[in-house]
Amino acid sequence: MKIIAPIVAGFIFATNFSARAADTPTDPQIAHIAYTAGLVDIGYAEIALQRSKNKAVREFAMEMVKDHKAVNDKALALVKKLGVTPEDNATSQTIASQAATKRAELRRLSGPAFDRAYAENEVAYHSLVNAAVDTQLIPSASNGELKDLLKVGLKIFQGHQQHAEHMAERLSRKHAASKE
Amino acid sequence: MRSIALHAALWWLLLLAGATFAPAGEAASVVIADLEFKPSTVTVRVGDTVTWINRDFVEHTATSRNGVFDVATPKTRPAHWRAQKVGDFSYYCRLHPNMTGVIRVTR
Repeated sequence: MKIIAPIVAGFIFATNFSARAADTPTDPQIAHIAYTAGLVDIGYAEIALQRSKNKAVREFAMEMVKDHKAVNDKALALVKKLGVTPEDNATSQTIASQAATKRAELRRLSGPAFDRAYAENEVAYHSLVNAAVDTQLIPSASNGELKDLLKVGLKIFQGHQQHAEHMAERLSRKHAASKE
Repeated sequence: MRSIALHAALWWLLLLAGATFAPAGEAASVVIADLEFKPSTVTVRVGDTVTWINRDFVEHTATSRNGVFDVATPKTRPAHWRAQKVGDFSYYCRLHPNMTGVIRVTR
């Protein structure tokens, strides 16, 4: 049941990306979407650092803060260099709004239940964002440097997804063992 | 005169040989760029030191799958590991497990 929420949210998120495929996002919109997606994951990580006592979960959350901040700093430096102002758009707004709902859900949990929900959400969130970066943002980006940064960002986020999958699997096994 | 020329030629040959075949204790370098270990496979001898140079803007690790080494590879400085036994050491980045490589250690 707990896995359904991220899937439903993901469907809306993915649908929103697809719906906008017809009107291809511009570079300022792409920069805004990528930056917002990074901020959202930093927000989830900050909740994990407040609520989790699990060493692996805390280390993962610290990695998310560091990596997404590093990518966002690169993105900010690039838009400054290019003289581009990131432009708010419907996709960024959908991401931010769904994240607010998810943050409220996570804040209601604690202990191992929180750890599992955080890990599952990280898998689902990175999976959706990675698909969107790969199939929507990278092909739509017209500036070469922005495209290159998105490509490197995608590799980093794919690494996060694998890391989150391993963490979720270990937490799930531990939970199953505790019930036996 | 002929002897001097012969000695000079020998020195050049030794220098060239040294550049190609590093003796035990020398370093092999792996550059980390765009979330890849380059080259992905390096061969060293027991006693050699492997150095990772991280050129990415995020931090990584070089972590062997059999638990022999777990080296943090920060952006700020090179990281090292000294090969102490023969074998193929498959490794990855704990933070980004899509990054993989192999250190092959020979006698």
